[in-house]
Amino acid sequence: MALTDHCDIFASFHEDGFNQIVHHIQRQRPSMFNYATREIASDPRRLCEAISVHPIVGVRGNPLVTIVDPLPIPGSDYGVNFAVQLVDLRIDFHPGDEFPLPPQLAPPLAPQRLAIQLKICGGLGCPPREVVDHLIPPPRVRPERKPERGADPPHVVTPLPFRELTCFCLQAFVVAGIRVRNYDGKPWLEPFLDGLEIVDIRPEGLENAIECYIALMLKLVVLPQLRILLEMAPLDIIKDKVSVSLHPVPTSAAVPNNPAIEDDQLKAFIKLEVS
Amino acid sequence: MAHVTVAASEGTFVRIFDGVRDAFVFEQAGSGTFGPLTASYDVKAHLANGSVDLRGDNTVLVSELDIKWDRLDLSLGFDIPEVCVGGFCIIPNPFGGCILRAPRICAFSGNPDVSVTLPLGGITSEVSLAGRLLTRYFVDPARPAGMNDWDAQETTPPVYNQWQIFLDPQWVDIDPIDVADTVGDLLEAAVEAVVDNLLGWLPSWARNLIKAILGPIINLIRAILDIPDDIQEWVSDLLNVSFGLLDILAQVILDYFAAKQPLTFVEDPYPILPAAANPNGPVPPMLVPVKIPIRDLKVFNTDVEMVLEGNVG
Repeated sequence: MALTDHCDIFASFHEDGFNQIVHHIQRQRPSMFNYATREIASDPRRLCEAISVHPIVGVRGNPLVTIVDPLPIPGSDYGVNFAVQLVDLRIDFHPGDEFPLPPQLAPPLAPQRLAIQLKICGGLGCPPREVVDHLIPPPRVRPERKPERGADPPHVVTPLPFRELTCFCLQAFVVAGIRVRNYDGKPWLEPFLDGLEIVDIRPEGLENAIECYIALMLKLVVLPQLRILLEMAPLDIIKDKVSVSLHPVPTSAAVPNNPAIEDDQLKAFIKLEVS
Repeated sequence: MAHVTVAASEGTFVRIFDGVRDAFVFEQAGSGTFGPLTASYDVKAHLANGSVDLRGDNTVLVSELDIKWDRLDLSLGFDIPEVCVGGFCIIPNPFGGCILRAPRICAFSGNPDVSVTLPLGGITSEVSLAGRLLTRYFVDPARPAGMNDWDAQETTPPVYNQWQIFLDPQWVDIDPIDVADTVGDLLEAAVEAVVDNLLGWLPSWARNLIKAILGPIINLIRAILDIPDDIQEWVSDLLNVSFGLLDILAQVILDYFAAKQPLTFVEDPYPILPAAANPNGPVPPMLVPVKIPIRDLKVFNTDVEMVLEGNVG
């Protein structure tokens, strides 16, 4: 059976190659995987995990981390410096044979799905006690007057100083898929998340809460940035010699899944349309 | 197993090939002397049509590709033997000699005195070829040493490295240029016009006399150039064999497909993610595109598709 029996162009990535691609993305676009407050960003040596980058990142002055606001301390004007890092990320296309999944993700890996093993590190910049002691507010002798309407000043969070981050790392597993989605009339290969499990956190409520938070971060921030324009997948071999556009082949009995995650590969079946 | 596999169906391959075929332009001029004849040519041709067949033995056959001769100008220069008329005595001197002679007029004293250009363009030849697909790694000679891959991509025009995919012909077979059968008439009319022009300054009696001496122009040309009966074949041979246009064109087509014009190429490193806005603010405004190095790229074909396989470095 030929690769293009049911399409004009076929493209596939083996999981080994895909992991290499992820490795290059981590090194060339570290700000997609590392998040920290401004103070930490200005001195990345304070991060929990050192970031290995491609030299072009420094040459072009690209950031190592995406700057985020300090974690606010409710009821105060202060916030805590913190950092979150996605450190190791390893992908296993169906069939799952690279690493075992935790029972919570109902192994074995379902057909047309991929598993991700990742290490997430976080750190909180807990301020020294002597600093905090100076910040404890005095008792309020008179009730605070509410400012007049429309005169609310912008709430500025002041990050508290710290000596070093209090770091921790978690091992997490993700089950995900890849679909085709159109944006501005162009099809993209887009990863989506099915489930996430963090290993060994108790109590269960805390685990669930952290899983929810990390899942949101993956869904809303990281995965959208890992979309690949469909026309880039076949290495752009058509070029601009012919006026055609690339579209995914609709699923059918002949092409039941597009993209397909099978045989340790991500496969895309593409048709040409003369424009 | 290869990290990346890309396959293009035969129909897609034909589209890619068509783009390369349509970009082909052949322009050439040359001259030579062949006995009494000095000749030159000025030609321009392009390729069209043809059929492409991927074959199961990992070769590609391109059949009956049209060579469209947009310009095929053949210039011929040759010498007509000098013809003199007049000079005879009108009033003889009874004591000897001549009192009044008719003027002696000579024509075709130059060498060569006839030069005609035959516009033979508009005809079509055919070429067929077969070869294997191959990859070649190309480093642009215009790329300065030490330039990084991102600067190479952003330079205008870009000077990034490329994996190029070529069709390397193992043989090229060109049908001889077959000029139209009207070439004899064309040649006769052209020479006739030149002769008339050359004799235009003569009185009509002298012009008529000289043309009568020359006889039919076509016979004159045949005699001077030693042309056999079939002028069409003679002109075709002149282009194909004497000038060697066939060999020249075959070599140009071979070089074009094998080394000059890749069927397609893959930028290396390949930009898998485009540049993106800096999440932290305006400086720098953009994050670099993410590029993946492509290694060990190889190409082959079956009877139904072209397949590229490579690794991510």
